[in-house]
Amino acid sequence: MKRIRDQTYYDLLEVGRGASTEEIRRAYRREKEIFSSTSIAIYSLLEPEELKRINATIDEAYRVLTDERLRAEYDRRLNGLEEKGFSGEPLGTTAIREAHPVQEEPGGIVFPHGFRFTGAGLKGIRESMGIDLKQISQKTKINRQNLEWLEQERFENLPALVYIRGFIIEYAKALNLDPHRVADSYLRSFYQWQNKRKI
Amino acid sequence: MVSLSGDQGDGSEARKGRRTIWTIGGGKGGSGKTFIAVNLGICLSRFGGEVVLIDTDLGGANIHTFLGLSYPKRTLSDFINKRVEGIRDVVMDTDIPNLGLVVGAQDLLNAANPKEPQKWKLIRHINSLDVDYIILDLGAGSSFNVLDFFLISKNEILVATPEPTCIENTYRFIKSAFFRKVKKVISHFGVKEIIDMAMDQRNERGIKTPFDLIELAGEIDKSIGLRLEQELESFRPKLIINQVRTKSDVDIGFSMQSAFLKYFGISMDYLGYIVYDDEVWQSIQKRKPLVLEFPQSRASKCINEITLKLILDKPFLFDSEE
Repeated sequence: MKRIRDQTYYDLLEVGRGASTEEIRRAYRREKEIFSSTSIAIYSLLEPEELKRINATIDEAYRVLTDERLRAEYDRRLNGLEEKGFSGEPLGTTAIREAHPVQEEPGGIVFPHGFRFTGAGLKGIRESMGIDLKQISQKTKINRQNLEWLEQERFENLPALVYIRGFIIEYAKALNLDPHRVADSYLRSFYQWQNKRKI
Repeated sequence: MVSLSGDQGDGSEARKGRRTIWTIGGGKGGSGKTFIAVNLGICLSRFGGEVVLIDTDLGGANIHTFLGLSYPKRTLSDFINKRVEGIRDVVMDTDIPNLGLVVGAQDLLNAANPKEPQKWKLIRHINSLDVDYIILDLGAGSSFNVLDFFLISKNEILVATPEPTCIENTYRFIKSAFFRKVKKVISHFGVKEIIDMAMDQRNERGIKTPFDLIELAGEIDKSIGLRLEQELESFRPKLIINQVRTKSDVDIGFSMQSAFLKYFGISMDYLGYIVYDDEVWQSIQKRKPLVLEFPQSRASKCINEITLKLILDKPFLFDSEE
């Protein structure tokens, strides 16, 4: 990360090198808002002088990047600098913004690779979606007691494996989760329990 | 003393080294740190792991009130004053399965200002507590005590409300936290002196941002400058905006994220926001946690979303072999 004075125009506007004019226009409006003199988000952060300088730089970045000829020239200069070891990587805040949209819709949650869907984990996910067991039971036609045991991983009370798999698939569907991925992950606990019992 | 009823989840063997500590700070009093700590703790406990909430607001402890509990027999001051052996002895049960609580010292002046060795002992004990999740609720202000607790883990959470006064404190708090953090890893006497100077808002060297400090330190010793740069890159506090009323209040989080990165060089994760809800006020009046009393409220949903984001980031629910 570099100081504002060392950031490229692309860094400053938080856009990629290939950004379209429309993207640049949107980014410019956003930055002008953040660094306006009445912006609450930067309250007390900058002296009036600094604020003026930053705004002037943002204006200049916008002027250059929205003018085809000026932008091409700027890119050439940037490429030349990079060859000499100047790194002008984009800041990446835009990527963060896109990767972390606030308030995702229930069911639209992306579970990273390797996430373990345990009984307790599924219960937590269900509760965070504000769905109770009664609703799941109505949707899946699985009785509530079995659903409770499923969440508690009380395998000794549940029927045979093939049924458990069926239950968990229906349960996952009711939560709008990938049913097979959930089942594969969940059943690991079942196999562990089964192995322990054999010993 | 604690007997958290957890019949599911991994055993204590499996969770060794997987414990996660979140510290909740932000400088301004009344921004909702304790409210968030309590409700987050409850949401986390539903995932089956053992959670302990620790009130480190020494001198102004009130986390038990949020849970509708009376002031307990054993508190942190018993630990600080060596009346009990370990921090385990002051963890009390709550009505919520998997959720334990350590109440801060409420009245004792000497507990409100623990001596350095006492503080580090406390921090050491917190770090060795054998549970899955620990949430540290911090007091207001940016005193060294508050900052040291804030920096216990790499999972620092800032709470701010969308008001100029609070935002001003947040910037000051995070700047002080960074300076405090780097002071501990640098042994060069001259650089330490500069860091001390930087702590003063109106310092004569004109150090206003981490960049200024790095530049000055780099002039003294290039390798220290590089070291500080690494520290800056690895510092990734998370932000929650509380008491959000409008769309533009929500956007303040994004704008702060952007300003943090551009001006301070600090990459901050905007975890989410909590809407301003009358039910929050009602739940506090009733001394009942929001997510239990009003689980369908909009604010509860916001807290649930934040919990999921935190938990998805952590290894506890992951298969180790994958």
